[in-house]
Amino acid sequence: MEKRNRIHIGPTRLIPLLLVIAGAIAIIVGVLQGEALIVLKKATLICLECIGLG
Amino acid sequence: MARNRFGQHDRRRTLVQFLTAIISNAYIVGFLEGRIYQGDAKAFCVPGLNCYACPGALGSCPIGSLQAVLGSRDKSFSFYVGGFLVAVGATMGRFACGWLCPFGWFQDLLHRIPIPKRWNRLRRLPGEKYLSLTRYAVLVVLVILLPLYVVDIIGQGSPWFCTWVCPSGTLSGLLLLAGNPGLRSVAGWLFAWKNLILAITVLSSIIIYRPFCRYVCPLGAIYGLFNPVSLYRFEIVEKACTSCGICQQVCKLDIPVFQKPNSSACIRCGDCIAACPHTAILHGFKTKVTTPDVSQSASDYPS
Repeated sequence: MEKRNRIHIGPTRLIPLLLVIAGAIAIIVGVLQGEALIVLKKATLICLECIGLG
Repeated sequence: MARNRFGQHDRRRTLVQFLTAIISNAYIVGFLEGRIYQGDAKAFCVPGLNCYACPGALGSCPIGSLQAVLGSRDKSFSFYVGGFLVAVGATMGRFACGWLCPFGWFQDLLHRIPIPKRWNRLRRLPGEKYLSLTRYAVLVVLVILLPLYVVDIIGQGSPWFCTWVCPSGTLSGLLLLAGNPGLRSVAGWLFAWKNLILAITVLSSIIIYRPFCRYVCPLGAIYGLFNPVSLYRFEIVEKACTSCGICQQVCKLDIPVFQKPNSSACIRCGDCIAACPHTAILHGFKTKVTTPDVSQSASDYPS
């Protein structure tokens, strides 16, 4: 029943597609600049600010 | 029949939310021993608000990660987290809020708690239009500007949103402290403040649907900006829609879907699609509608 509601026709929109591609490129740039490592370091220690301990 | 369809849709969404929450927080040892997962998967962001301080978390919260990068000494912009948010937002908009966010599901569950019959659940607060703008203020001030510009002596900023507001982090903290007596012993006034915010969020979620998502969540604010342009979107079949307003009646966020199918407030829960008696709301990754299906009868919707 639900499948009937899905849109099967028409062109994929260009702007969001370009945004997705831009986002993917930015992710790669970020990884190359070491940002993933910053995230990893922050996330693998207990975030005291997050849990309200300062 | 539509009532059955509505129930099926609700169960399916609940199942997806449950599975997402379980998969995102599958580090069971963390809950048992009061510690967090420290593997490499923590370098990856998850689409929903899922604090990386949660004992079970296998990935990172994008809002916490964004503040971590912006607050670091030599970064003034985050390509990594920014790119992730743009990619997710441009793909699905706030679908991530409605289906993939563990804290959103937490609020959904709270909203199911029965209340006395003489009380009425609120569909919106007075000044809803302006209150809903506060999430953008939270995003700009607490998530971006303060971590970027209020720095300590070595040039590092703090995650202001996480520190002062985020109830998801507080909930994670409660789970962590439950299994960690050492951390419990250092809980002070900040912990009390954050628990007050969590308590307000919990109680208000029973009365009004998803108050945190509506008024506070910076992640929802970002994804919401993409709703009008995302690949996954809703569309109204003009020939089938009678503007009966049933979509707005069933929408717990009180959005007039027949007028604004891609509102930035819409979390893409899909209740309106399941309830529409005319099958006039389409959803999918492509947009040009040329063959409307109007086979459903008008009497065929849940009361």
